[in-house]
Amino acid sequence: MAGIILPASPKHMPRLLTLVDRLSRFTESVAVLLIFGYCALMLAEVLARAQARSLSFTWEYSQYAMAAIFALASGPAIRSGVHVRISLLSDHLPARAARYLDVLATLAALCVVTLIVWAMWVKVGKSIDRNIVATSITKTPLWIPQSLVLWGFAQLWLDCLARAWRRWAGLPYEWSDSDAEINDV
Amino acid sequence: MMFEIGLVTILLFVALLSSSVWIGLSLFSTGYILLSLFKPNIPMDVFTGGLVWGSLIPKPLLSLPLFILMSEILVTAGIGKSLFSGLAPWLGRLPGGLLHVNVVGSTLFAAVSGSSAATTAIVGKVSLPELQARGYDRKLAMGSLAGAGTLGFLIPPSIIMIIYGVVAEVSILELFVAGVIPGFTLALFYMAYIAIQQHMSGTQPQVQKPSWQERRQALRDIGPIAALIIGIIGSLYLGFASVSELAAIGVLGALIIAIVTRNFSASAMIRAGRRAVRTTAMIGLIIVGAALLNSAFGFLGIPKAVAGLIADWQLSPFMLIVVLLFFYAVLGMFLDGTSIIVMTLPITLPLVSAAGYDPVWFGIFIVVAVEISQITPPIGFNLFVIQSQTGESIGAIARAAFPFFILLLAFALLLAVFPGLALWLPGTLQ
Repeated sequence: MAGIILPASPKHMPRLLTLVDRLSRFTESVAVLLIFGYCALMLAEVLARAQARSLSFTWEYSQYAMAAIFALASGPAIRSGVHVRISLLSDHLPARAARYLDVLATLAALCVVTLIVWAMWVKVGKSIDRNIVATSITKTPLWIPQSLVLWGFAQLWLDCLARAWRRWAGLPYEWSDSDAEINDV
Repeated sequence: MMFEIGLVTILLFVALLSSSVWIGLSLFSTGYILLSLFKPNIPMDVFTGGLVWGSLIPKPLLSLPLFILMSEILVTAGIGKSLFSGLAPWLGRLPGGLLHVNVVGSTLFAAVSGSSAATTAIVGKVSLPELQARGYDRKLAMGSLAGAGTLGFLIPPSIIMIIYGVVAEVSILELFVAGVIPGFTLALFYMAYIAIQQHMSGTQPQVQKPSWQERRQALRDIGPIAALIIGIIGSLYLGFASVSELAAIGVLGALIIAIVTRNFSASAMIRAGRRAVRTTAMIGLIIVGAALLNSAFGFLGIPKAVAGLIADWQLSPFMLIVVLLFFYAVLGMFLDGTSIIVMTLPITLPLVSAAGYDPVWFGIFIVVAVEISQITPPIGFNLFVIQSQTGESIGAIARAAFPFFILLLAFALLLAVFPGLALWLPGTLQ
């Protein structure tokens, strides 16, 4: 991914930033689908238990969905300024110094997210190589839900990269209004 | 060796957090660097991958995103307006008048929200302009909102209790039930203070006696939300469903309220979903970071070393609690509640357990400590929320919230002297 974005000339950056935003919106939409989906699964389990039955897969698939939501919405959360951080120092710096500090912080974040993405990449690779499946009755191949988590953190990596570029170039870097964010590059 | 580990940890924390690196990622990188430096034999990629995956799928966490979703749907359904219009005719003529809307509204919203900042934002958005328009003391209006907003952590369902339950491996159901009496007691403390302050200062504006028709209309406004709260707390106590199932039922209830109040639309629900998944992801990143940091602490024997150090001080159990309260209040000046709990619990919980305190009780105590941190500058989230609504300085809002800060401190000590306040109700579950 880095090879695609970093060498690009500045005039191509808006398009790449738009692409990252669209991907971010898409991963967030998947997360929204998953949260309503696993809510429906839990309700199905409640209904089944009311009839003295239990669906074998509801809890397990809900756990996979939750793990995916944590990761998939992480990039959009950074784009919309939801992730928490301490801004005590940057609030008291002149605007230009605060901007450079933010670029530095975002690059540091990018390095950390690289480690997370790499670790999940290794995890998914091992699950595929060793054909690791869930110990439950469903025997779900674990690489499938793990890939969703990998995808989410890869999107976070892209969002961090886009944020660093926007901050460096002095562009708006956080969605100011969650309802208008689709038009915000 | 322990000195070097401590020094590196502190330097990393200070450097990363003060340069505004996101808290979850700061915790993660501190843990990663500590392990790479002091335990070089650990294959970090394999170890970290397993830890990231493992920290994101615990079954007890399942209720967390759903309670957040429920709260967002209720916000979309305009619950803030209903709270004020539903409570004002009933509370306006009490000593303290409509200022009680801040406390009772926060108590009710806390019972369906679980978030302190959300409680402050939703109640304050409607109540602060109304109170100002009716001539109430602005300082007391802001202070009572800041204080009452913290009830979001204590009255179930509480997001922070879910996180405590997962990290401490304590029953979330017991924690929720344990929070009920302290939550309502604290709300009564706040109301008593407001009534006394207004009575003594003589500044309470006069309001017209509402007609019974107005009161009936108010009940209609607040009825659906009251039914949802009674349903959630009652089902928790009676054990009709697990906490996660109850969260899903809560989402269904919130959807029904949105439909009944004619606030339902697909786009509004998607917006609520988007806000919910972002908040969920924010907490998830902190959980991932803390999982690696705590794992590093465990490998390096830090909890044991700190326990040994504190044992040397030979503190009585009560003094240990006083020291911890001070420690959390100071930590809360710089970190948010979730980070505080996930970072410190592996060190403080064994200390407190060894001193003979119940982990469920400590869950409630630490929640009160985190509540204190919400109204303590410079990083008091409730203060930020009120600042965004009023434009006042953080210092002015913190001064307004100071009496409620004192009430919270006193309440935390009361909880230490009378642990039964938290432990009696869960005891009746058996």
